[in-house]
Amino acid sequence: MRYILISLFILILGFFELTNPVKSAVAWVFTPFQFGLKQIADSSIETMKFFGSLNKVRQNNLFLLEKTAELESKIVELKNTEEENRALREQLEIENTFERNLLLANIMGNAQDLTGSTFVLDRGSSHGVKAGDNVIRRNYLVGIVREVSAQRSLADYVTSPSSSIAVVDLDEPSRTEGLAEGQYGSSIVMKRVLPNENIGVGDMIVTSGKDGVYLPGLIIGKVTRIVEVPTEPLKSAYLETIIDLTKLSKVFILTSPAL
Amino acid sequence: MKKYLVIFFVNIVLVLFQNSFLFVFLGGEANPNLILAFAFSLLLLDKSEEALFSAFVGGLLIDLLGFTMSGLSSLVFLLAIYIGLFIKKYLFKSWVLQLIVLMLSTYLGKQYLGSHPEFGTFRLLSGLLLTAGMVFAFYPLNKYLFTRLFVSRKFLEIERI
Repeated sequence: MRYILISLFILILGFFELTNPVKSAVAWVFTPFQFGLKQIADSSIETMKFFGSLNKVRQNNLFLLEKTAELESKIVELKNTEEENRALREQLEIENTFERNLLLANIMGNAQDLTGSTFVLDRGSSHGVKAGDNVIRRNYLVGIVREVSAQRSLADYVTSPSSSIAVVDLDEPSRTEGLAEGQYGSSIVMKRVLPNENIGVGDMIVTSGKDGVYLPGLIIGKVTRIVEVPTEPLKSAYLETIIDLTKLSKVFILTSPAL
Repeated sequence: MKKYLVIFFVNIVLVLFQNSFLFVFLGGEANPNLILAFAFSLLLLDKSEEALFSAFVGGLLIDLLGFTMSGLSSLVFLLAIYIGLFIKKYLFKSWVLQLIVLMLSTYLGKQYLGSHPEFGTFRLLSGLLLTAGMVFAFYPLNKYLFTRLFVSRKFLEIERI
């Protein structure tokens, strides 16, 4: 009971503000500790807030990265569609005189071929592709299908050394003929040109169709250089493709119409 | 004498911690009453005299460091301890009832001495529950002090020095 009495006594003293000097002394002693503890609490809260927001920032960052990846994927998709549309528009401008079906295909490259003379297409026998089908873009010859699987096909570029194409000079009235063979890169050599036949630099060379492999009228390239060796009876001409074959991503396969 | 000194210093630490650190962290409503929790934990150990002393000292320190009239908190805390003692002695010797008294006293203490909280808010209830929970945190400390330290020879040797 004595504590109650002491408390009441202090309360009376406090009522008349007689405890103020004691209060001041206690405050003077403990204020630095109180202040220090408050600062520790404040800084702890700040640290917690910082780490809390860090997690939020991290979550936002992950969300944005996910969104960016999604948008990039959409951009790639749109670019592909755009490229496809452009290729289709270009191809529609050219009159299809080949009596073949046009099958849009993507060039996937061929990692196994270090010479770069072949390419893989994402269309195969299940799409109606057969070995020997010509591959074109507009009316430029890109290559020829060599091997076919169900979903894919392997084709030779027109610049491949294994390709041998019967060609004709479109700019010469005499229609100079020859045999075009690939030389890797973008270079093609037109061989077996008779000495008495005319051929000039800048002439447009197209397929003649006489080999029975390539359809006639497809552009091979332009003559860049003519080689005449006195000891050899036949002339040669170096050709260069007009379109950059390595940069093509969409092409058309001229497939035989279904019987 | 030594144990009263220890209780006094423990109360200083608790008052500082409650009024500075925990107040910043939890705010007025959710802030637990560590002084009453400490005193009630002594009461649960049947140390009624020490519990009354703790409530008196703790209340006085709160008043001296705060802006309430000196002796008012002591009086309120002492009344809470006396109610606890009365219930324990004449009505029901359960610790659950003691905790209810503690929570009610804390609520009334907050209502009339400090922050005037609204009844039934989540923050207030969490503050009251935290106060009750602190009894269980202080109980082992007090048990150690009263069953080991204050009665051991080592402590007596220190006392002699």
